[in-house]
Amino acid sequence: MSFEVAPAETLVLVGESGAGKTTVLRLLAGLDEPDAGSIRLWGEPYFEKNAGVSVPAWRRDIAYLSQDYALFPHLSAGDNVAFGLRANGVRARDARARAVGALERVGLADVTRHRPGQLSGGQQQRVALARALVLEPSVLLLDEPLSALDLRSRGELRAELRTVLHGPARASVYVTHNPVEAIALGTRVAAIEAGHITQIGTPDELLRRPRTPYVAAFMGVNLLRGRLIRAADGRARLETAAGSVAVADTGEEGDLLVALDPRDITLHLDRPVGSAQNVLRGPILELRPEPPFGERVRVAVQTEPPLVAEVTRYAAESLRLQEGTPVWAAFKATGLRPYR
Amino acid sequence: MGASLPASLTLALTLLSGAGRARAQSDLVTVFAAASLTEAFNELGRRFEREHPGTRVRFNYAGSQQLVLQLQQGAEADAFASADERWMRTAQEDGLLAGAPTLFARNRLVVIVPAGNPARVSALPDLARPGLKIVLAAEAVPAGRYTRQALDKLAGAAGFPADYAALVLANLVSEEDNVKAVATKVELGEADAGFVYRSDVRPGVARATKVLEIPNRYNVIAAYSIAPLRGSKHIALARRFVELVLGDSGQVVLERHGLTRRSASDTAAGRP
Amino acid sequence: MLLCLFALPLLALLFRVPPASLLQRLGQPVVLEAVRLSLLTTAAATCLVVVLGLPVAYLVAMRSFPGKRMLEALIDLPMVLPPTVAGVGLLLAFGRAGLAGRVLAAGGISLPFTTAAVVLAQAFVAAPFFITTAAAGFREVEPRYLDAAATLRAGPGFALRHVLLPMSLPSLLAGAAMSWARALGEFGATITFAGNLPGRTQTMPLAVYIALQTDLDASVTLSVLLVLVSFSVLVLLRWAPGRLASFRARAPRPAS
Repeated sequence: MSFEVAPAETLVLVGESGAGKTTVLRLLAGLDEPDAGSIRLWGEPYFEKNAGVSVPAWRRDIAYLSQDYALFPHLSAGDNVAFGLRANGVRARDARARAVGALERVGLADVTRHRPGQLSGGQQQRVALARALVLEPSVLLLDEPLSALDLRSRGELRAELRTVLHGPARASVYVTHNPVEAIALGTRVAAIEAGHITQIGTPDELLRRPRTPYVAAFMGVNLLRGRLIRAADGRARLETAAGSVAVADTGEEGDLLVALDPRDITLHLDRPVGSAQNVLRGPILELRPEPPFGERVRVAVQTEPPLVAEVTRYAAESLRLQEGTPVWAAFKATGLRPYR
Repeated sequence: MGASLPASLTLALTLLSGAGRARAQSDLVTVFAAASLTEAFNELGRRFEREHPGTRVRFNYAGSQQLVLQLQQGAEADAFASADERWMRTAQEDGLLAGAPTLFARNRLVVIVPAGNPARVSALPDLARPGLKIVLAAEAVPAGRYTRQALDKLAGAAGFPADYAALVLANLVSEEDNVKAVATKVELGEADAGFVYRSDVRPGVARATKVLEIPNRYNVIAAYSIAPLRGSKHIALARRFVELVLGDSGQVVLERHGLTRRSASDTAAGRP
Repeated sequence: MLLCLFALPLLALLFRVPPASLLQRLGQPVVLEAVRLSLLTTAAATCLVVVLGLPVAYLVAMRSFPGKRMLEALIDLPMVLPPTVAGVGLLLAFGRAGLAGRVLAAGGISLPFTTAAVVLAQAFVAAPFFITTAAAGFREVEPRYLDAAATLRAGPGFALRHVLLPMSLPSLLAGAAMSWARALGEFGATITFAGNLPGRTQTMPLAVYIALQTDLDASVTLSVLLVLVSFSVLVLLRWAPGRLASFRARAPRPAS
C-alpha cells in the first residue's frame, strides 16, 4: 500500500480485524520492518529497502500509542510521562517538572504519584497520551485508543483527542473500527482490506461514495453495483446481480456503483403511492436497534436487491414490524447518482 | 566413638560409603581397603573371583580413617584392610572385627616431584625452601600422619635445619583427603612436591614424576593389616580372602604393586 | 513422604548437637575460618556471576544468532556436570600446566590452591543457575513494554536499565540467591581445583567433610550452620519477591 499524511492531518485507518491496521502502525513506528518499500518523514528516509536504510524505532520522531497503553507498571504516572524525556538526556528534575505540567494539562495532577494499576481506564489513556505528547513528536500513531473505554469516557476523550490531533505541525495516523470516531476525527479515512488500501478519501467521500462493500457497511450505507441501462423512455436503471433499481442519469457508462442511505428508504405495509421511483417488496430479515438508545432501528429487507433501511423506533412499533413481515420499501431515484 | 546415631545419618553414610545392596544371586564380598591398596587389591580381587566361581568381590577404597568411620556407622562389609595400625586398633576396640588383625604388607613414604621439576627440588632439604607448593594428605589420613612423623624425624638431622618440619609445612598448599589425590596433583604439575607411598608411584604416575627416596632411618614404614569383619554375611569367604592376601601368591601381587611383603620376622614373631 | 526424606536428615543433624554445644563450637578457629571463608568466597563468586552473567542472559533471552542453541547448552553444562569433573576441567584449564594456566603463569599468576581459585570454582558451578533464571526473567517482560520504550525514544541501553531490569528484578534476585546457595554448598570442584587448606581454601563444605573423619561433632556443627544459613537464604528468596511486588503496587485506589 502507499499513502501520505500531511502535517495537521489525521489519517484514519479502518478495516476488519486482521486486515493489517496495527501492522501498518508498527511499520511506521519502526517496531517491525517491511519486506520492501520506503517510509519517509518530511522527506527524511526512515526505511528504504533498496538503500538498506532502516532507522530503529527509538530514533524516529514518532510517538506510538498501543491499544493497551503499555504504561510501565513499575513507574508512577509522573515517572511514566517523564520516561521519554529522561531517555533523551533531560535531567531528572526538569523531566519531572515537565511531566507534572503535562499531567496537569489533562487534569490528572492529583494522580502523579499513582501507579498505573491504580488508575481507571480513562485516566490511563490520558497518561499514555501525555507520555507520548510530552516529547512533541512529529507523527502521532494511535491504535484504537478508545476501544477499551466505556461509552461515556469514550465520548469525553474523543473530544479531547480532536484538539490534540488537529494540533500544529503534526501528522497523525489513527486506527479504529468505530465509524463515529472515523468521521469525527479523520481528515481522511483509508479502508484497509486484506493488506491493501481499497479506498482513501475524506469521511464525506466515503460516506457518499463508498467503493467496497466493507466501506459501505462501515459507513452504514447500502452499496449497489451494476451496469447502467438506459430505457427507451430515457430513464436510467442500474442492473445489479440481485435486481435492478431506478437511478439518476449522471451520464456515466458501464459498471457503476450507487450508494443508498438507509434513511432515504421508507417502509410501508401496503403498496405506497407517491413519487418514489423505486418501490420494492420483500420480507423483513432482521431488525436491529441502533446504539446508543435504540431510537433508530435498522431493518434488513430481502428485496431484490436486498437493502437495509433505517426507521424510527416509533415507526417500527406502529407498523408492528417483525422478522418475516412483508413490507414495501420505497426510495427516490433522484438521490441515487451512480459513480465509478 | 560408637555412639548410636539416628537411623537417617546411618542411611546417609551407608549410601556415601557405597557399600551397596546385598545381591541375592551371586555371593558378593565387600572389602574396605585403604586407597593405597587400590591396584594391588583389584588384581587380588580378580584372582579371588577366578578361584571362587560364583563370587564377586567389590572394593571400597578410601582413606583408612574414612573407612573406619563408615564401619562405625554401620556400613556393611566383609573385610577391612587398613594402612594404619591405629585405625585398625580403633576398629578392634569398637568390636567391628571378627578376628585378630594380621599384618600383611608394608609401605614406605617417598617424595615425588613433577617430571619437569619446576621448583628444582633435587634433595629433601630443598623442600624447606620458601615459596614451594607442597601437597600432603590430611593429618587424619594415615599417609598424612606418617608424613608428619617423617618430617619430625628429619628435623634436626644431619644436613637438615632444626625447624625443617615447620618450614616444609609452611609450604603446604593443600591437604588432600586421600593419598592418591596427592599423587594426582603432583602428576598434573600443580604441586611442586608431594609425599606419597612408594606403591602410589604407578607406571602412569612414574612417567610424570621423579622420585626422591627417604632414607630408612627417617622414613615411617606403614604397617598394613587386614581382618575379617564381624558384621560379614559371608564370613567364610571373608576369611578366604584374608588367606589369599597373606598367602604367597597374594604377597607376590602386593610386591609387584610397590608394597613390601611381610618379612620372615613378621611371620616368625607370631603374627599369624 | 518426600517431605520426610527431606526433613529427616536435617532434623537428625539438629538433634545431634545441643544448642549450647553448638554455640561453644562456633568459637573454634577451624569453624570460624571456614565460615569466614565461605561467606567471603560465595559473596565474591555471586558478584562475579551476576556481573558476567547478566550480559549473557540478555543475549540468550533477547537476541537470536547462529549457534545460540550451542551456547545455551554450554551454559547449562556446569549444572549437569559432576562437580569433581568440573574441578578437573578447571585444573586442566587453569592449572599451572593448563591451557590458559600456562599463559597466566607466565604473567606471574597462579590460580590453584588460592582463595581466588575457590571463587572461580564456585562461580563456575553456580553461574548456570543465575543465567537461566535471569534469562527467563527477561523473556517474561512483555515485548509491548520494550516496544513502548522504543517508541518513547529510549535507546537499547536506557530501555535495559529502566524497563527490562526493573521489571525482571524479582527473577534476577531469585537467580542470584540460587546461585549463592549453590556456591555455598560447592565441594567437588573446590577441593579438586583449589585444594583444601584451612584459612585459605577450606570452605564450610570442605571443613565438614574433613572434620567428618576425625571429629564427628565438629562436622555436625558445621553442617548445622550450613543448613541454617542456606535455609535462611532460601526463605528470603521466597519472601522477598512477594514483598517487592506488593511494594510496587502500594498506595490506595483512587475513588474514581
